Amino acid sequence: MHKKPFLVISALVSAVVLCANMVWMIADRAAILRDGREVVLKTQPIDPRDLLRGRYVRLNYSISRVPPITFTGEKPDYFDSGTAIFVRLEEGADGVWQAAEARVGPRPDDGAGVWIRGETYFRMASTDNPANVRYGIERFYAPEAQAPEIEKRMRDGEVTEVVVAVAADGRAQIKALRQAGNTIYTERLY
Amino acid sequence: MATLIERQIDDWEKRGVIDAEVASALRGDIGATLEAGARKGTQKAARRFSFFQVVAFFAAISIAAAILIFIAANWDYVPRIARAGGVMAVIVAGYLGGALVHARYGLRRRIIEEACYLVGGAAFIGGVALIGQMYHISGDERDAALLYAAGLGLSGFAVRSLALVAVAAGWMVYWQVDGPNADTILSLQFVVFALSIGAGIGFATLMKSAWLRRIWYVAGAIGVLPIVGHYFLEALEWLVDTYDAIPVTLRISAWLIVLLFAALALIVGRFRPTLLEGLPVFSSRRAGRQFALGLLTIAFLHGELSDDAGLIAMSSLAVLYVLIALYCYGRDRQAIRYISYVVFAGEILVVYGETVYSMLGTSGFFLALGVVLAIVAFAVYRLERRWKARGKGKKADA
Repeated sequence: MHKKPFLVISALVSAVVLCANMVWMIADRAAILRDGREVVLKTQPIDPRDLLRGRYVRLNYSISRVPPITFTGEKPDYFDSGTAIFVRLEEGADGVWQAAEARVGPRPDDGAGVWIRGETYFRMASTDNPANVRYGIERFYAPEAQAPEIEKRMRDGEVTEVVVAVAADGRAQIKALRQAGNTIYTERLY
Repeated sequence: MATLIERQIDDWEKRGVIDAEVASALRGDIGATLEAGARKGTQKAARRFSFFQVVAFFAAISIAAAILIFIAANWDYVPRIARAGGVMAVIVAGYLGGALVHARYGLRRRIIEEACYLVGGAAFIGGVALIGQMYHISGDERDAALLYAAGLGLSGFAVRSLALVAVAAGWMVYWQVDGPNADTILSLQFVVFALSIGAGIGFATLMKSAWLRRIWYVAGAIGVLPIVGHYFLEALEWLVDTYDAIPVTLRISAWLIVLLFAALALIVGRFRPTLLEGLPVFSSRRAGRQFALGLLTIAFLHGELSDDAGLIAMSSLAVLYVLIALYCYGRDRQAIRYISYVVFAGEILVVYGETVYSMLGTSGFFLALGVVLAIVAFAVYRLERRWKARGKGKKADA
């Protein structure tokens, strides 16, 4: 094709749409951070590194395995990969939040509770075993300058609490790292 | 550099067949024809290949990469929102720049136009990755791949960029093969994949680009592979196990010997065709296969030597091999030339990707590579001029 009609307009629209996509992602995440309910979760970090995005620490939470007893409502015979699961969190006496109730399917409409949205990530033949759930908060990307220290602390097991903001629709976002009740790293909005 | 006809005119003028006036009129006419040809985008405009230009280009890329990585390593001092803004500025500059290049030069600067779009597309991928990092989004790489495929593919349709749509094919294949339903046809995933393949092939057909269409055929084939390919994968596994059973040092030395052989075959075939005339493997007619063999070897050696020092050594070796190939066949074989460029760019990306955690070290490597290449480019430039001068001298004597 030798002629490209409307090329400059198309290029402009393309660039604007791509940039708008990025702006939307940032605004969306910042909104979760700003407006989401704060909960504190117990964690054990696992290994690092990502080719495109630099280094990160993989986090595993106490709520990453949801025991069958917490499930209420209808439950399928097996969990497919990518089954949406909502888990209601309740604050314990030590200030750490635990899974109190779990539902398969859309977010229950009870208003008051803090429901975090997760997904199973492999097929499980039975629902009688604890369900392995991911919440989209399983990575912590350490800022370059502080990375070595934070990673070391995390791997030594000193950092055991992660403050997470949970949006009304259940999506979660890491907000801060804590160590024995003291915040050691706080996420900025932008 | 004079074309054959220009040299002929020189000769006629010198021997008095035509006078100076006619000669200059003829020369002017050739120049006008060539320019008109170039304006129409035909291949007639003499495509001149200069080894010097290529090496200088490589040096420029290396130094640019060194600068970029140096900045990346010190990014913490730049506010995050400013980084995202900078990335967006690159996206806008890439897409608009490409469109403006097209508006200004039409098809004559097609590669530069495509390069602009590619820069814009790469910035989008980098920007999304950056946001993922800013907010610790652990979401699926698959979701990101779909976003990249859609972003690059649709914007590629919009600006009618072959390169962007080709890159989108790669992300689409990743999304399909990595998916949970890769091996079932009756799934939404496969429908989406099939539709995207159809769109890609349709676009390539509209653009009358045979190579892009082939890329999408291959993408479709790879995407279907998991469905038909259980046996294929099993056979592959057996091969890999067998290969792994061979001791590492033996594997490395064997591959190094093969690489040396490939490089030698290229050199002998090009510059000493009479030396080993009885052996067709050394013939310049097999240059394509010799070159491919070397590349295959490099791929395997990369698999063996993937840690820091080994990787740097291997990448240097690969760059050296590519330079040899360019020196031998860069002028005559278009395929070898372009594949060499791609391999060079790929080596930079591999080294960058693998050693991203020691960025300053990587930056240093690129800077050193850039400086060495700049020196090589200068030396080659002098050599090329001297050869040309000598060639002219010989002609004058005759």
